[in-house]
Amino acid sequence: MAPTALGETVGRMTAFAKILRDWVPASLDWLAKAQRRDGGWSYFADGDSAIEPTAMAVAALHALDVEPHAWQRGLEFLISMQADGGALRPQPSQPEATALSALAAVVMVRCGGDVTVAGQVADALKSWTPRTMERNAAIGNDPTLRGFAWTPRTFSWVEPTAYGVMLFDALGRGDDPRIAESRALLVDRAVPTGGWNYGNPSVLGAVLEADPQTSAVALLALLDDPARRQVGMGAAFLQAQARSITSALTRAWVAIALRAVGDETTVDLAGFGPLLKDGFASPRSPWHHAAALLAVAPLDRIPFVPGSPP
Amino acid sequence: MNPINRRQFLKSTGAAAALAAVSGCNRPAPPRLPGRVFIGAADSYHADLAAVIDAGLRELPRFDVAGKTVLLKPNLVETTASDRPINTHPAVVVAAAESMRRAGAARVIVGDGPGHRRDIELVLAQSGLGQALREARLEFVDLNHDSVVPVANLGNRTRLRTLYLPRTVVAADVVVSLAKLKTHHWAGVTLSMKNCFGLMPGLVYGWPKNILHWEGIEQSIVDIVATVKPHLGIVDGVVGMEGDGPLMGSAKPVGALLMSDRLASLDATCTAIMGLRPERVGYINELARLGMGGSDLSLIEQRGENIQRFRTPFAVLPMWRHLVA
Repeated sequence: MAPTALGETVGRMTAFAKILRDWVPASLDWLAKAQRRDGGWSYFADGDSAIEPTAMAVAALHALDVEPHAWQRGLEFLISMQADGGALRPQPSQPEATALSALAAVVMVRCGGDVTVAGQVADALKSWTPRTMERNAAIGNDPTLRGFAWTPRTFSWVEPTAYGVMLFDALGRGDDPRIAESRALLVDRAVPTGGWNYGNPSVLGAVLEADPQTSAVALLALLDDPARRQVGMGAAFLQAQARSITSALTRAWVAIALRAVGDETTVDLAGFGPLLKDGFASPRSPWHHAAALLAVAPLDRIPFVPGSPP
Repeated sequence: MNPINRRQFLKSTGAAAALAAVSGCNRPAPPRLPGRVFIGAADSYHADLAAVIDAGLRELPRFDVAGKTVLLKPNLVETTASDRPINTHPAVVVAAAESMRRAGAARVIVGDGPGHRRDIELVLAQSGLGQALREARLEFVDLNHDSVVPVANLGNRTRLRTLYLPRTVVAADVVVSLAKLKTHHWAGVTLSMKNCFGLMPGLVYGWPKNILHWEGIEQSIVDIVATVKPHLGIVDGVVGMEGDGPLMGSAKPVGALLMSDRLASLDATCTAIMGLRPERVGYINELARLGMGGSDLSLIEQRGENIQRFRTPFAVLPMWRHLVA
């Protein structure tokens, strides 16, 4: 190994040791204590359990190989949220399932949960045939493409489409025609300057700004072909944004996406500590703590990274 | 799950006795009077905005927050790398909170469910609101990810028979819409009533509140406002937005804060200040008919500064030219 490369490696190992010492143990401890009686985790400390923060917590604890009893209970909570149609309700106070089911089901598949339920989630989400529209000059994308919608009978959006793609891939059903169409939708929705907005790249001719969290999940869903131009532009957008992101949640998704494309250095993993300690919402959010912990886990154990083992 | 009204919710949480006198989702419709609108001058966000709001509250004697929990709902749509005035300015939010505290509010909460961005930490940081809330020791609730309570839809303009409201909204004694004076490419204008879209949780309605968009923006505004019945509206017109609002438009300084406990009257007055015709904005008329005020400026009692001082034509997209006075 050349001296420069050796120095970089040693530097990275030293930085990682600092992370482990500085904030990971405290965050793990906080997250474990934040688990609720029903086995789930809430978005914020004073809320009810919900599938998204629970899935992120299960993924983080599983990936870091700690608290097995806790993440098993988390998986049971996720299953308990299955609605009649097969998809999952986001939280107990809500009767209708949403596309966040896909995120949770990816974790079920990758973290030793119930694959049968995950398959039912996939079937349910696919059956919510999203609305399409004729091409329209006011909308800067192709509205005839079908991905996945947040809720039944609505339009396809970037984030639920990305989670849908991840789920079908995790289940080994990536050859479903809806997944090819979903990826085409993600490519179509990319903002011309790189990255993805929540939905449209432009409205009424005005180009919208990309959002780093949405961009990260969209990028992860397109890694079946890392050579796509949109992947490169998305990664460049995330690299440009990374240092100014002051939220542990978004920073975590950005770190996962960049690590997945081979960039282990842009996001300073030690930087999560201050955000989780001094942020406005992050310190009291199991969702944010879990995401940050997941971001520092071994890459091949992060369930949203293509190729992580089932 | 059966819908409940605010009274049933409070009873179930044991708070009914303490809050029995408080109006809320099930309070009777206000009388069909246009009521008062207060217009206060505020040349910049460095002005004493709390004093302006205090003066406005003195002109609205029906509005009472003594001993109550107040939810302030700013317009916190989006973050941006630009300096476009998309969101209710943090100084207005803090000033409103200060004024509510001075008026005797027992607790002041700030909450919103941004329509586009799911990470509230990022929105709070990039908008500057997080730092302002921290300095003012104000709590914030992310309404997108709050637990929800089903309530009967009292507007009935959409097909939705039940609306799911964040627990924080239902439990608040007083809801204040803290809006921004802007044009809106799908609704014409976004003021104190359109701002109420952000009360609706993304966890239920998606981002950007997809279900409500498919049900119709105007119809959804009517349903939300008729159901929640916000007690007060304050519109940040210090600097508004014209053109391709609510995100991509241009800054439009107006120098005013406007307030009313009749939200239709407030929005009608704001629309007129923008050089647009309020009677041509469907949801303002509809909510006026439902008792939220009036759209006829000649019937609205103006207090504070003269409206003529602030009238300034806002640019609108071609599809909204029919609103131009």
